[in-house]
Amino acid sequence: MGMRFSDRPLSDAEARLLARNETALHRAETTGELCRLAAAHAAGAAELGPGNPVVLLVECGLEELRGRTRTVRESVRAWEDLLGRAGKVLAEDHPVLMSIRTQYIRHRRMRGTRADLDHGVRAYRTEWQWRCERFGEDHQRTRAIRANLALALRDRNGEGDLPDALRLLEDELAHRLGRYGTGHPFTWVGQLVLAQTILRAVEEDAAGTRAGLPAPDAERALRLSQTVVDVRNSRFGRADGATLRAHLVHAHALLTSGRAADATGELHHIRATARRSGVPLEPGWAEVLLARAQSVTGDPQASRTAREACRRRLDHFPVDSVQVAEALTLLDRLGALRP
Amino acid sequence: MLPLGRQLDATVVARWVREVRAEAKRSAVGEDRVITTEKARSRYYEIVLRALDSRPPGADHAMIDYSYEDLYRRAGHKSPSTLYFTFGRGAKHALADRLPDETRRAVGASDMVRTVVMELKTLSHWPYRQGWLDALAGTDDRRFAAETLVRVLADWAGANPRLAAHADYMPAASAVEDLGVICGRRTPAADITAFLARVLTTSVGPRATSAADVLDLVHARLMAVLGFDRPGYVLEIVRRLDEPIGEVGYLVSQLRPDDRAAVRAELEARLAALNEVVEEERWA
Repeated sequence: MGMRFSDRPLSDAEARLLARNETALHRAETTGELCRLAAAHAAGAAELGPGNPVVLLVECGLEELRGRTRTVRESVRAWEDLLGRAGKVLAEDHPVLMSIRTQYIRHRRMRGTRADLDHGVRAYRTEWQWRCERFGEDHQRTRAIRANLALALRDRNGEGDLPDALRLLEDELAHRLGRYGTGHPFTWVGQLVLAQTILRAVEEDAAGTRAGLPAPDAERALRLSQTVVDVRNSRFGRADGATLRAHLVHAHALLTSGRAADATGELHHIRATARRSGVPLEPGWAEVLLARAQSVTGDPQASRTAREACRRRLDHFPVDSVQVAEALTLLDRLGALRP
Repeated sequence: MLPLGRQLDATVVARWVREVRAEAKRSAVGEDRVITTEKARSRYYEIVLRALDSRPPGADHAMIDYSYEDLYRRAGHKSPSTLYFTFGRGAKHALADRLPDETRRAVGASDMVRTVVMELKTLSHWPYRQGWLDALAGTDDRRFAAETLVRVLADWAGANPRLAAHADYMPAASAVEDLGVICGRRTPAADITAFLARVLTTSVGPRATSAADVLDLVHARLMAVLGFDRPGYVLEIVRRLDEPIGEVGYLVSQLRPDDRAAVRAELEARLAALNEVVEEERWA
């Protein structure tokens, strides 16, 4: 059900490229190394043409990885270009075109201006409604977009957005637990994004209570993120990007639960591990959390860490993005605390 | 030991496919003796595929609901002789005849129909295997090879769900043999087959969301099949570190004391990270 690439049989050449891509991605997802994937793309484009769906799928994977080392603006342009080309050759409901469309919306949302955040909510909502009609509410692709819509609402954080996001994600997690079970990666993602959103709600002063939801509970976010840290540690090892991202959410939960010293220790460990293993984390994420934790514990390094967060964010996100604003606001606050 | 790529190139199934492909080419250029066998081979594969395609969507594709008599009659033959001449014991290019008994039994090629299905699955999976090998080129990393074998098998199953399920989720014989090579031939074929059947069941089931997710769902079992839940393989890798560690020791001794500090810091960071994992009480 969820994995069918195409309604028509693949040719031998397409099947071979699909498998080569699947194998090259496995290494590239961990190491970020592009060479094998780029070679697969070049070979595929030469044999099948650049507009072939499997070739476009390989290009999709390449662009995701390239996004790790370029600015969000550059990524948005790249995805927009790929969407334009793929849209001319693939049907609207082709899995590859849907993935490209999702990535374009995601990266545009990540660009982080107010207009981008608004666009993210509108675009995901439209995509979700279209997928409901085309595939049904409970299709995995519909459910994935619904979670993305929740994240877009959370990050836009307009009037009523956060309670809506929480409601969607609580429902989404219940669905995933029921349908896929606790041991499924799709469920783990649901747990982690709900944990992050609960933490946002706690920090925004319990927006959820006004919407009739249970009061956002940092301890629950801690438990949810710990679960994901444990399963990803077991599956991928402690130095894997997926494990480190779960660990960052866990550290955030420690901070929000009033355990700043524990959060500091964990964040130092995460940063050192990421540095050693060459795994890229979202720029500034660990540094913003560390600076906040350090400011709570009275560590004089807090301002320096906040400056590093600003630098990393400015290198990756536009200057008028919410991500840069968050880092600058934090630096401002810490600077204001200096005697 | 030969590099992994060379071992995978020399499997029984790899040699069989090369021969069958060569025969198919000779058939295409009209060598009479060959035409009959190769046309018959293709014909029987088509009959199985048509039998699968004609089933309604909710049918149990794992089940074989036709007999060998059905096969040869649908092929327009009055007797099973062509069927046996193409696929049976002693047939020139019968895969069942080439495989070790243990593998043939494990895969489940226990009768003529299942033998035809086994060959069909293997050939259907073949271009996926080739793509897998294209990207594996040069690696001896057994975990990487095994994990990607599973992802690629899941991709094949996603594209061919009915065939993947057919004959009780019998895996492609190539995948069974390949995983056996990766395991250093230390894992019984029956265990490998059972594991790969589970990969197929998961791949065509309601929890399949992507090939990567299928791997995650079966990963713990894969580690056991590979024997990675025991210390043998990791100790093998540790012993292979003797040479580079020896070289580090020699080169460090050439450095001035000040420069040795930088090397020590790098070594200590790595050892500290490894120690954390070694001392982690996951099984407590």
